[in-house]
This record gives sequence, C-alpha cells and structure tokens, in this order.
Amino acid sequence: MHVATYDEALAVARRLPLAERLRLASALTGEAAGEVSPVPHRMTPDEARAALADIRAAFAAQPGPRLSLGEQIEADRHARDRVLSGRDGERDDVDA
Amino acid sequence: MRVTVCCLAVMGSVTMWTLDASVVARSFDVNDPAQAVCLALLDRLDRTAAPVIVPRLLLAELAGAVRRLLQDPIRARLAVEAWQNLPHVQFVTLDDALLDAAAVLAADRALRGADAVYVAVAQRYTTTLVSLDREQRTRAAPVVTVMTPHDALATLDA
Repeated sequence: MHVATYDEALAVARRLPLAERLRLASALTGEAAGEVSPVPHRMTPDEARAALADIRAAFAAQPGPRLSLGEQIEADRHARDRVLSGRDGERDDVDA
Repeated sequence: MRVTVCCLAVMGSVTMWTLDASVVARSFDVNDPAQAVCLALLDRLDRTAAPVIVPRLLLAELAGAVRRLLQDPIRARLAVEAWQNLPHVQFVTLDDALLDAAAVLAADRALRGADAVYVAVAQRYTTTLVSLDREQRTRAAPVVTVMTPHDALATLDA
C-alpha cells in the first residue's frame, strides 16, 4: 500500500473543492483533539487546604483505638531501623 | 507564583523552616495529642507565607502513613497533591550531594537514614528544623537549629 508523505497528502487535499477541504480539516482537527492528553488540573491553594481539611475529617471519623498518624510514621521508621540492623525479630527473605 | 528554592536560600533575614514528616502527619489526626500544636504551626506558616523547605521524601512518608491508617489510597494521593500545591512549601529533590550529606550526618550523628535527610535539607538551606522526634532533635542540634512545634509557634508569636 502506498503511504503518502505529508507533502503528497497536502497536495492532494489542496485539489479538493472548498467544502471538502473544510470537511477534511474539521475531521482531522476533531480526531487530533481527542488524542491530546488533557492538561491535568492543578489544585489551587484553597483547594489544597480544603483537601487537607477533608483528610482531617476522615481521621476524626475513624473508630478507635488505633495508632495515631504520627505514631504510625514513627513506628514505620523504627521498624525499618530494626530491619536494617537485623533486630526485627522476624525471618528475613534472604532465602526466599 | 512560586519562589524557587535557590532564591529562598539567599533570603538571609527571613526564617525558613524544614518540617519533619512527624509534624506534618500529626496535624491531621485529632487522636494525636500533638495535633493541635502541629496544626496551629502549619496554619501560621501558611497564613504568613513563611518559607517551608522539605525533602520530597516527606510526600512518600505522608502518603504511606495516610494510606495505612485510613485504608484510603485516594485520600493518601490527595494529601500528596494538596501538599504539593501549598504555595509557601518548596520540595527539595534528593540529589547526589544531598544524599551524600545525609549519609555523612547519619554516620557522624547516629541519625536514622530518613531523619538524616531532613537534617541535611535544614543544613543545606540554613532552615530551622521542626520535629516531634526528640532523638532527631537532640542528634541534629549540633549542626542545625532545631525546635519543637511548640517552640516554633512561640518564635513566630514573638
């Protein structure tokens, strides 16, 4: 199958009647627009503050007792420390 | 418009802050006894547009903790996105020089690896490191200015 180059396709397209050229342009533009990724929405500072308030509300609705978020981070860091030093009391995956 | 980290570094008369992940995380959780002071500090820094410079590592620590406690991956991602869009907060990429500095600090000051990264950021940008972790504060004190959230709030009030 012959694949036209850009210049060949353009030359053919230019020989079309005006109405056909406009229809072709419209079709190509519509298809191309659908292929372009939408620009990701970036939170405004107020939206960011609202999102953080929502997360705080979600924590407030959590049933207790449980670790607090700060305790979880501290526990994670200490757990990693124990793994790094081999004092975690659990079998390593060395032989896995 | 965001101020770049390189510009912040030369703002000699402005106190700049580095927040440990413990301070940021504990501001979320009303069950935490430190929540009120952490939230008050973050609000004050936000309202006064005080420059906050933190390692990008904070985002992963925050996301992991939110995900694990709330069992909610969407809110964990939202926490990350929200923090990334606070205009007074700058995230520092962990480049080779910064990680090398953190390694030296961990070796010399007996800091845990993640703790040393925050200290290295505070050292590089001459910021005040705010942490709830007593061990981190004690071991970092010889090389950077360290404060509790309560002390930081008092400083901002003064």
